Amino acid sequence: MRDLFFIGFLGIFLLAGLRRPFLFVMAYAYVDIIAPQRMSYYLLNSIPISLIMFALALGGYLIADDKKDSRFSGRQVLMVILLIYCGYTTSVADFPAAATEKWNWVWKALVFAIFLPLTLRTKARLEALALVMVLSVATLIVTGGIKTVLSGGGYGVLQLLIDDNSGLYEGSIISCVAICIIPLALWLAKYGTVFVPDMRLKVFSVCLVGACLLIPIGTQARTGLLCIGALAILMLRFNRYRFVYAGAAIALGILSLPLLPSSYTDRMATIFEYKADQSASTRVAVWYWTIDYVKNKPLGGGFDAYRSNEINATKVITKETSGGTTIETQDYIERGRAYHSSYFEMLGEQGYPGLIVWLMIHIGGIWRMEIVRKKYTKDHKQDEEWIAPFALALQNGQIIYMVGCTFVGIAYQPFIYMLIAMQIGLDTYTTRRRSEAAFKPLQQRVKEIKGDQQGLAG
Amino acid sequence: MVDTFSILLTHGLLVIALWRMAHNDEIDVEAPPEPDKNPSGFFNRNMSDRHKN
Repeated sequence: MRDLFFIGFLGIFLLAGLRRPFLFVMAYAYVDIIAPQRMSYYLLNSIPISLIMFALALGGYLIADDKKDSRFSGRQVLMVILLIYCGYTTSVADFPAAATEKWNWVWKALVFAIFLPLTLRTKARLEALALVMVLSVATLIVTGGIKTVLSGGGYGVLQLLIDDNSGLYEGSIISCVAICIIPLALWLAKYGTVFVPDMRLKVFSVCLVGACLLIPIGTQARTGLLCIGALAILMLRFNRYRFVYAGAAIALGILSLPLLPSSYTDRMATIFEYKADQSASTRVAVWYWTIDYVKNKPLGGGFDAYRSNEINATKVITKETSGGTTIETQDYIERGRAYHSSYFEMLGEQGYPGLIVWLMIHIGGIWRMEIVRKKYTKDHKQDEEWIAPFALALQNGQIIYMVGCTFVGIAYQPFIYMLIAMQIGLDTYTTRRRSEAAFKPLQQRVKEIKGDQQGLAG
Repeated sequence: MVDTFSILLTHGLLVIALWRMAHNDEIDVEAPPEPDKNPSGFFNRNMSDRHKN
């Protein structure tokens, strides 16, 4: 039944794409985020759905779309460099088979992120991407939020649609992404035109934001709590009543403590006591290992280079005896421990060159969005009111990602590259519109009109 | 049950959004921006200097 539903839904997407080829691009974004083939039992999972959608998106752009307004930006060039560099490190990787497996999906995410901004040349298209991204992720978030309210969730327990723990379906990753999309969801609720802001949209948005905030509780991922902290600080930045807001947020946090599951509060307490927590302490040990590793291999070891690590870890064993509780520690060696941090993932796999390019892509995004925000806050026309808040939402989303990814290996997560593509799209869109609107002396305008008339006559 | 509700809700909204986007001409073509009333950059500086003098 679910198979038929998704086939029907993709059919609607394809029909919409035939009418407007840009919607094929949205179809690929949807498939890349939600992966409906993974929820399928027999039909969709036998078709290379992702490949078909990408071919349609690219074909639609090349054949039917107007390319006059497409622009190529500096950050797309950086992504091309990163793509080529990742290809090189894969060819000389420590673990060729594992590296090739990861390369097979990373290159697709990068190629799509390079291609996507070329198609984002109108305001309606930027909004369409934001909406498709938010609603696609909402499929996982709504179910996760309701299950958290009903059952409380648990680390590695909360099941989001499928019994699979990879991609966006993994607890820490969805916790980070759920908080990342809050600024974008709030922007859509205020400036959206596909769904015009009214009471129904407000209620849906409040419920969705609530569900997003519940995901880190349901998955009990510490990353999510850090992301919520980052979001709270970012919301203070332009809040006129920041002290009232901060007071209300703290009061709400304290009031919600008794309602949180004890397993959640116990797990969050380990953020500050990482030495007592085996998972967190071995993670820090892997980071030290990575720094040592790149001393010998500054160009990186290719995807999954962490497989060669050997970490001295300590296991804490608590025993209940007749005389009370005894705590023993046992040293052991842990092998092939993953990075659990995007910064160290980039450093270990792509070395210093890869890390630098990756940081330039991300920090460049935060910087460019700040420029766009400032420019359109100071001076904007009546129909440009949406630009500064949109730039701020994209900037906040990325800062939350940069905080969250410190503790999760999501350096190549396709969703984040779509966010970057949207930033590039907004940046090139505003630059082009500004030059189109720029003041021209009367003489030049007359010349242009004459030129157009001659062109028409010819 | 919860999963089905979530899928139906978000995909229902996506279908409505797709319908509206497919019928929205502004997806492909946008009205040109309102021209700036005043010059900017170097030209603007020259003009304002002239006004000061």
